[in-house]
Amino acid sequence: MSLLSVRNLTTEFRVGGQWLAAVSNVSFDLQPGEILGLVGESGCGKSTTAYSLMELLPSNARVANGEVWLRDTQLLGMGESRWRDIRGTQLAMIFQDPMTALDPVFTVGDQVMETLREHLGLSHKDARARTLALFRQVGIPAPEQRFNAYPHQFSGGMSQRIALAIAISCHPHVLIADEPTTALDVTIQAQILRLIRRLLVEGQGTGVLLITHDLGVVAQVCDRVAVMYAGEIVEIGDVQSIFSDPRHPYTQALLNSLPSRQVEPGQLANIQGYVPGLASRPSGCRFNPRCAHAKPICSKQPPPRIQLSPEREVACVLYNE
Amino acid sequence: MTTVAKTTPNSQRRSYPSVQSLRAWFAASPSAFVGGTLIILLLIIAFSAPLFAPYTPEEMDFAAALTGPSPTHWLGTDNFGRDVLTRVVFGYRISMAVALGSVGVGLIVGVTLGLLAGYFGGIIDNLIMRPMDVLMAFPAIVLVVALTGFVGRNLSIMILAIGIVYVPIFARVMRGATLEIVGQLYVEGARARGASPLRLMLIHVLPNAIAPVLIQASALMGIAILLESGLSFIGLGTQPPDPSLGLMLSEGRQFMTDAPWMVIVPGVAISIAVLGFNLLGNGLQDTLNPSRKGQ
Amino acid sequence: MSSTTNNDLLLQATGLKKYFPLETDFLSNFRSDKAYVRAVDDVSLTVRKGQTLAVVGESGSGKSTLGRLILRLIEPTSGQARFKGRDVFGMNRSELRRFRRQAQVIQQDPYASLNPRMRVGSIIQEPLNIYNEGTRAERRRRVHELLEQVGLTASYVDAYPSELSGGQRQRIGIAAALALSPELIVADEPTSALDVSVQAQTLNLLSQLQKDYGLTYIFITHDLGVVQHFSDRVAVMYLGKIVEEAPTETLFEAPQHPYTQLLFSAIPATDPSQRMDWNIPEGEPPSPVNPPTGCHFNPRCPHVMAVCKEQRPHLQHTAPHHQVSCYLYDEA
Repeated sequence: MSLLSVRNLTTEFRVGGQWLAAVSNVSFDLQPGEILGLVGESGCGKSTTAYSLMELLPSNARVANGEVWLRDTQLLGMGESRWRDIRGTQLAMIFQDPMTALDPVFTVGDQVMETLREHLGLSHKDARARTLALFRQVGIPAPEQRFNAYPHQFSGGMSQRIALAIAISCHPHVLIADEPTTALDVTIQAQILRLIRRLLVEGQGTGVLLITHDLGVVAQVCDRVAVMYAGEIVEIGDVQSIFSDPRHPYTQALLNSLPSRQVEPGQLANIQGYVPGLASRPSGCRFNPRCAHAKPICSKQPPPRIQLSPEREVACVLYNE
Repeated sequence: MTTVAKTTPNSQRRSYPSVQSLRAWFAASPSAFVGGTLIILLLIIAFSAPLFAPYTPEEMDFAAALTGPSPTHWLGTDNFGRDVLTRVVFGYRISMAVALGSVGVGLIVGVTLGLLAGYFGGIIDNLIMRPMDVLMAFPAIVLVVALTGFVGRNLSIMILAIGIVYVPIFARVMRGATLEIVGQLYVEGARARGASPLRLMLIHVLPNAIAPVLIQASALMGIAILLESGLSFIGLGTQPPDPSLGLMLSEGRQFMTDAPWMVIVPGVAISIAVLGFNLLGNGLQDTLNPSRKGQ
Repeated sequence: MSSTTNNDLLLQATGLKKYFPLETDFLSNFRSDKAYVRAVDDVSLTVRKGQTLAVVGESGSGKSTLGRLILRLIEPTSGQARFKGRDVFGMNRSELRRFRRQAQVIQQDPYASLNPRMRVGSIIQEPLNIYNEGTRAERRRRVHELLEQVGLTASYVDAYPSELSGGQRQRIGIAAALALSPELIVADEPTSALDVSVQAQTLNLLSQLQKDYGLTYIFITHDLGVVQHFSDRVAVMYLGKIVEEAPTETLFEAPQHPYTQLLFSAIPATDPSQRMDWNIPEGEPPSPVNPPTGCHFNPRCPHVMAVCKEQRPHLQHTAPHHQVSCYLYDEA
């Protein structure tokens, strides 16, 4: 049984009185100790997918269909009180801007301590000792002094470490990380990614769903990757083979547009046109108007999902038969 | 090989106001719509007063003095037998003239000063804003009373006096908004293209910084009407026999028990105008102020 | 690239410094121990005609401030810049006007760099209005021409920026920068707000324009992938100083300054078969208000020596076109 299993997830947004699907029929599995990357360009629905899993959608959005299983528990629609038990203990989440999770008027140490007392039922003294230990674990220098500092006194990298400290304190089964290093400099990014790997994945066997637009980050830290375009997963599989042999035309074009993977000097390969908006997504395969290999059938019916190997699946007619 | 894709804009154009956009605006802010409609109606009434009013404001009919509402005098008459409805309609003329005039003066001077102070900062900022602080520290009524007392009591002096009271208020709001916009990337971009300070202020800063000033203007128009009424009530504003709403209130006071309409009608008339401006101001706040959008 | 006649020297900056006072309240003017953010601290560089110089650094390195200094959008604390031999900071009003025609900017965030109350046509036309270029009809024609050049169509002229995507907006910004046919363009993170595929479109456009018009770019970025693809020379900045400068190929083959090496080791390569070793040392850049004495990088440097904590290193040639500011390469 998978640790986390998402089946046919469809999430809709209300736009001018109409419900439009931002995420359509998304399915994937996450195993313990695995990092699955969810990658795509802005507006592809990767963050909406993550927020749907946690049922943390804004009021103009709804999950229209689908199931999310955490081992043998169906998470969707189980009610706010049960969610409160699960969020932060079994499912943890970190965000691009860790400051949003911290209250500016309390010291960082007190906030982490409170979280520990609430989730683990520790005494004040134990919680304080545990908090300091966590600070040391996530590499916060001079933890005794930093304990009494306020959130605005922390840099972006340090705040993300605090968010990680809170996440690891409860030994979550699944960590959902939404662009956790996008706002950070590369050297700090590397430190944070290393922490996620060492403390959670290797240390606690946590499964990580890493939402990112950065293909370099995917290549370096993920075991498997799901590529999203216009609300759908177009290709999913292990990172090694997808990066060395991308099959979906969108994945191919996306990888070729990276400056570090340029084909001919001076020119970057790129994709014609722009990502369609929610209301103007084409019928059939959503990539067909921009696809170099489009056939007449591509604009008529949605592409089949084709199992290329036990590890890999692609949604494209090119691989039919 | 050029790989630049030719594309066309993917969304609709902004068009001139149509029935649909009016409806959208109403949906976005009913209070701005109601307030705006009310003010426009009052303005039409005020500026075409002779067309609406059944009599002239000074026309006396002693035989009909202090009669209540009737088919000939819908809202009754006063102690000189003048038609109250006519006088209220003409009273609006003065109220609106004061509201528009004083806010116009305050807006033009205040926005200019605030824009200069915010844009240039430093010494210019201090030279402009410190006197504004002093002016602001004076109670408005005292300032107006002093000015009208010194220079004389007529409509334009009153408009000017209230306008001067408004200058520092507009200057402050404009300066704050300017400081915010001056820091925007597009202002620096225009500067890099060689735009002069005048162009930067007029084309890039002013249109983007004006929203909070307009919200303020709407509220201050309502207050101007109250100020005019108050000044006229205590005898420092409009002089008889001119039909000011405040003056009508003051005159009607002696006859309150016999002819209550003499105070009720101008009182309600003042409230309606002030309400209209406040509704408009609140509505503008909702639609123009981006930080409040979606709340 | 290697010819060094004075003719193709477009811009030369020497000893540029920009210190921002930390406290801005009235009373702090009287304090003698005023604190400063040393955003740019003694930077010298040269840019040759038709070349692209990339200025690379992380946040707080002062790279954007350097770009604004070069365009004289802010006044320097000290230092000099010469554009085609003329002293940029000594220019009077009309000279500065002429300079602004020739040196343009492409800004970082396409969502904040366009006036939201102006239509696309007016935005692109504004530079032409400022310099009274041509007749009305000629200006309009030029706007259409510029839209075509950046890969858009004339149908965009009436659109407002809010109706466009990030990539489209950045093209509008590029069109406005091109309107006066400048020689130098300072591009401040022009693609960092864009998705990879749109970034590729934009970079292709910029290099096409460079080819067509012989433009010179100063390309400010934190993205080394873009640098490798796009630039001829690279200057690496750390805490307000250039720590290494070299031709792009040389720098990517053999980075010499320990900070440059750290930067390279931290960049996630887009090839999963070359996984990084995750040996990034802990620590963050210190505050530019109190930079460490000696070499600013010494607290994070794996090769730190005694001298690094006492004396400030200076840029020195380790090869004809390669300069490094590090005692490791000190001959003496």
